[in-house]
Amino acid sequence: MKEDKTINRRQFLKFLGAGSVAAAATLTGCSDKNKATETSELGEVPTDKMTYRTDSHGQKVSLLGYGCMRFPTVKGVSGREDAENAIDQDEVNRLVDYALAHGVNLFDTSPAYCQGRSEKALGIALSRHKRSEYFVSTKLSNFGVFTREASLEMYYNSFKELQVDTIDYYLLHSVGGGEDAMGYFRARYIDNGILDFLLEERKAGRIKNLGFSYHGDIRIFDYLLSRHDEINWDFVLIQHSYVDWKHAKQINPGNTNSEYLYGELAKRNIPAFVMEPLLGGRLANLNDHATELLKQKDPQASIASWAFRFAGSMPDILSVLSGMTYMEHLQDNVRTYSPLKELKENEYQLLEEIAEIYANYPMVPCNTCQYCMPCPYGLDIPGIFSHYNKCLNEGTVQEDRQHPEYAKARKAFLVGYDRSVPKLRQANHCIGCGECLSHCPQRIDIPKEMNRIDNFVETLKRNGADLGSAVVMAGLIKKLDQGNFSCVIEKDNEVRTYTQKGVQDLYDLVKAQEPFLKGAKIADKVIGKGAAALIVLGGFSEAFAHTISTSAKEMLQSHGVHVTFDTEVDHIINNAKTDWCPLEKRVKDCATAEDCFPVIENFVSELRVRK
Amino acid sequence: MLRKIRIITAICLLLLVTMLFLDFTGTIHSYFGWLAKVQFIPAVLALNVGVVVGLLLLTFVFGRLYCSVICPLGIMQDVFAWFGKLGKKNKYKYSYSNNKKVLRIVALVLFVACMLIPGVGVVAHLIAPYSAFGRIAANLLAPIYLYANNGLAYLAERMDSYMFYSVDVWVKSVSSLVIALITLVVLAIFAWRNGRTWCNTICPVGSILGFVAQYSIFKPVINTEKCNGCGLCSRKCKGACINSEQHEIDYSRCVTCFDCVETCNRGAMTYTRRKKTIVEAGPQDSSKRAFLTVAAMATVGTAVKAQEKKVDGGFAVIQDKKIPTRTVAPKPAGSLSVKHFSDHCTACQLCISVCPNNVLRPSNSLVSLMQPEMQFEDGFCRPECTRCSEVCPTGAIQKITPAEKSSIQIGHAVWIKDNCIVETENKKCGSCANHCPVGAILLINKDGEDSDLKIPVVNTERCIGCGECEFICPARPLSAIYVEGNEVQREI
Repeated sequence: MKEDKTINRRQFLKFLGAGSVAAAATLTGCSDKNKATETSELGEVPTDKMTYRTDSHGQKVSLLGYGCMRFPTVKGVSGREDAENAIDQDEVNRLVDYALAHGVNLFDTSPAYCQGRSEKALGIALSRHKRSEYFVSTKLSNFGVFTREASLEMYYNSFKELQVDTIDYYLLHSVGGGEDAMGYFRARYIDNGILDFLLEERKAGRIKNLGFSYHGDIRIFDYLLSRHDEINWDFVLIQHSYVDWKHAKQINPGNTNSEYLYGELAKRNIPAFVMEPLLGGRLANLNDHATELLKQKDPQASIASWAFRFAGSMPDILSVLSGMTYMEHLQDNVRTYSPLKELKENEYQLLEEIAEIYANYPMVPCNTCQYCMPCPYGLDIPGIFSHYNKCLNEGTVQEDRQHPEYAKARKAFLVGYDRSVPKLRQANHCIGCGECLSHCPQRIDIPKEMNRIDNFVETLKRNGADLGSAVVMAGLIKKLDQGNFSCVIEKDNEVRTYTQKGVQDLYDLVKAQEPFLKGAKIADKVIGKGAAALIVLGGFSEAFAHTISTSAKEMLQSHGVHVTFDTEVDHIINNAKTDWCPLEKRVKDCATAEDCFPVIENFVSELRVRK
Repeated sequence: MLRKIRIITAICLLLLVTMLFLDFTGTIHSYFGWLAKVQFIPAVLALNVGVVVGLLLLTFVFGRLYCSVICPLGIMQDVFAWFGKLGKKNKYKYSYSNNKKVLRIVALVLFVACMLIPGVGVVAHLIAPYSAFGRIAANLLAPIYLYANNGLAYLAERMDSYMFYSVDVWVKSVSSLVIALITLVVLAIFAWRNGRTWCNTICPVGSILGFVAQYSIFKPVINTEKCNGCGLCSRKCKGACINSEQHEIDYSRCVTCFDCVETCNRGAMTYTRRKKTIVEAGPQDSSKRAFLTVAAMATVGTAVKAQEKKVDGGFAVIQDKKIPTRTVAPKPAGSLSVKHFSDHCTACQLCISVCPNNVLRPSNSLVSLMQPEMQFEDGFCRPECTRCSEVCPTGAIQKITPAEKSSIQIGHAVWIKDNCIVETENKKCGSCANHCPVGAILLINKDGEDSDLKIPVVNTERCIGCGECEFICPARPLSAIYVEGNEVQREI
């Protein structure tokens, strides 16, 4: 997974490198410099062109904020994933010095970042500069234990680690998460009196600006803004990108479009910090079609620079936080915002088009923030999602064995999977305990996604082998249960699923004399005598039911259909559990399957007329 | 000329047979899998009458060509012998010795007895030539090959290529490794010093074919009229079977290597109908190695204590799984029964070499020493895989299709309540049931009706014993569900 990331980042840099030079150069509006870049690939990084915005108290904040969740370790990778190696303090110092020298004056961290090592490293680096030169932002990340004592300890510890007397921006970290978001929020900030405490601290001047970072349940966002008059939020940190603008909800029903979030904040004149401007790097690496569109518009601009320009273009955005591990990230981002070249109307339209393409792409909306980690069962959740998304992007998620690229895609997916995620940390080891659910800011149903990816991997591994009826039937039953279908039918490796209630689907198929049924296998929730008759008439070879009635079983067996089931009952009952199932009652006295058919026909048409 | 043909053929076949044990992708097997099946003892065990008769006929016509061209262990010894003859003074270092008839008969009888008496088969497997070679290749050479592959995979990964992929390299069994190493050292010393000593004393195949070879139609013959009794042929003969003084050749020990024919500068030795012979070699590697378990399962992680602040990231430590105690060890699907399997398996470990799922490894138990056994801590017997059944040369594992495999019950899963995390930690799980490829595990409520917690029950009628539940079970170090083997495999 680490490997993956570096590659992603490298690609990201590749894009960014070439593109933002041109962008930066044109931004400055200095045509001489523009020419100079023709000779050297990367021109000078401007030191005095940074775009600044003004906060609630009139302070000038750089549009690029340094996100400190990805400080490098001595191994040269992000400290977010690399727990084994120490943070490379020398490099952190160098990055921070460079940022300050090039106009970046906001540094955002949290007690949770880099596995608890970010604040200290940032404190060391900043303490070497005058306090007036920088703004520092940190958070109350009391995710696990939210007693008053533990929260206070965390608060005071931030001052110590950051070596400051005042904190410029302080946030309630990631509100809106948890299965019961309101309960979770209350437990973390209200019931323990912490919010009141922080308001006092702001009054006392130890906190200059108080805000919150928000993900997930919109009710929390609305609730907090409804208390704006009383609390007077100085700023809010939201997830905002050209995809989130109109499509956050489409991609992830648990999220809210940033159009709404931004609008609500702007209405109240609350400035916003932006997180995830690149959606965890995913907006730096789009699929071919989207890349083509952007490159057509401006062959020089990197894919990532579009996302940064979008995030920075809205006037009420105070600062765009970008987690930077490498000097190249920093330099490129500084270039993009020195100064910002605001998006034009037609560029907004283009990005909306890209967002639509993106939103219709079945990626897992994981930003690899690592909050879900460590998974108690050892899974590398972000690693699995990254691999899956990467393969989607590269077109190597291919289940169709007839596809000409199938063999190649299969190998790329499986080999790449083993490379990026150790075998014992892969999706199949998810037990569905759900511990991760409350931690995911994107509210991804992680166990469900794991299950889906695992099923896909299993399909690839089986590679269309003829596995015999036991395995095929087990697969059908799994599909039946997980997809909540009314019945699932398989023949020659082709699986079809149906969702209509009762025997309607079966009836339609038999009525149409569907050749697919000859010799097929069916898994059904309930098989009564009526369904059994249809199965016989359709020419199925094998049937499974969770519940089967004795008369149905006998009918199937007498016609040579191989039957398996979980429970056998004397007769099927109706939905209200008060009486026999109406169809079961009607076909009770039919002697043969053929006799049943007209009765079923009447039954179904009556049912449909009633509707 | 004959000698050159013999050497080239032998080296090619040796390399190919070795590759059968090294190539984990199965490519070589599809073309040269038959090379394992024409080995004498495997063919006998597989009751492959055609091959056995063929080999006996070959020997009857041409002498023990089998020993010099087909048997990988024989060729391997020739390689060592070749090294032993480097240098001028070693060129003609052999000498005639008497036939150790008693030793040969005793060894052969012992071998046959051990094969027939249950429980002591291991002694026979130790000296069966093909399986001895197989163990050397599987335990000593394969790891080197795999490391090399992993090196390429490492490079491929850096080049974003999927041409090579990394595989696990691990010591599958210490006892087998030690036995392979001892076999190799002993054979190397024998061969280095005296050529085919082992083949002409202990080797049961050598003895059987030697008996036939005495009556072979073609054989090296000394033309006494041309022979001046110089004894070069005798000193060149690795079989130590040419008595140049008496102008006699012991054909039971001659492996038809044509060395004598080539050596005689008077043209007195000819390969023709009636009269005499010897052997020689090619290159081979034999350095000893240190074995380390490599990568893929780099389970190193950070221990993250329950902290007051939850940190983002890090991995939970994954404890290694322990192997459970099984009353009956399950055997690969297609083995018919534990008895059939142990009667037919000659412990060549070819199946172990090709198992892509980390399931098969050599047994350490005395009764089935060196024979493969199934364990599921690093993988399970995947439903679409029938590799072991395809390569087994002895018929210990009969060839099956994936469709047949999924209806063969090699064992059944057993739930251990005390290990199950639903019981011990009150956690929701159900991994075993969700993963069972044949739907043999159902989840039932733990305590009565209204429980969120579900525990597994195994439908032993449906279970095929593939071990996926055991592999996937989150309980560590001992799984809460494990496979108990069947004495006799059943069709379900």
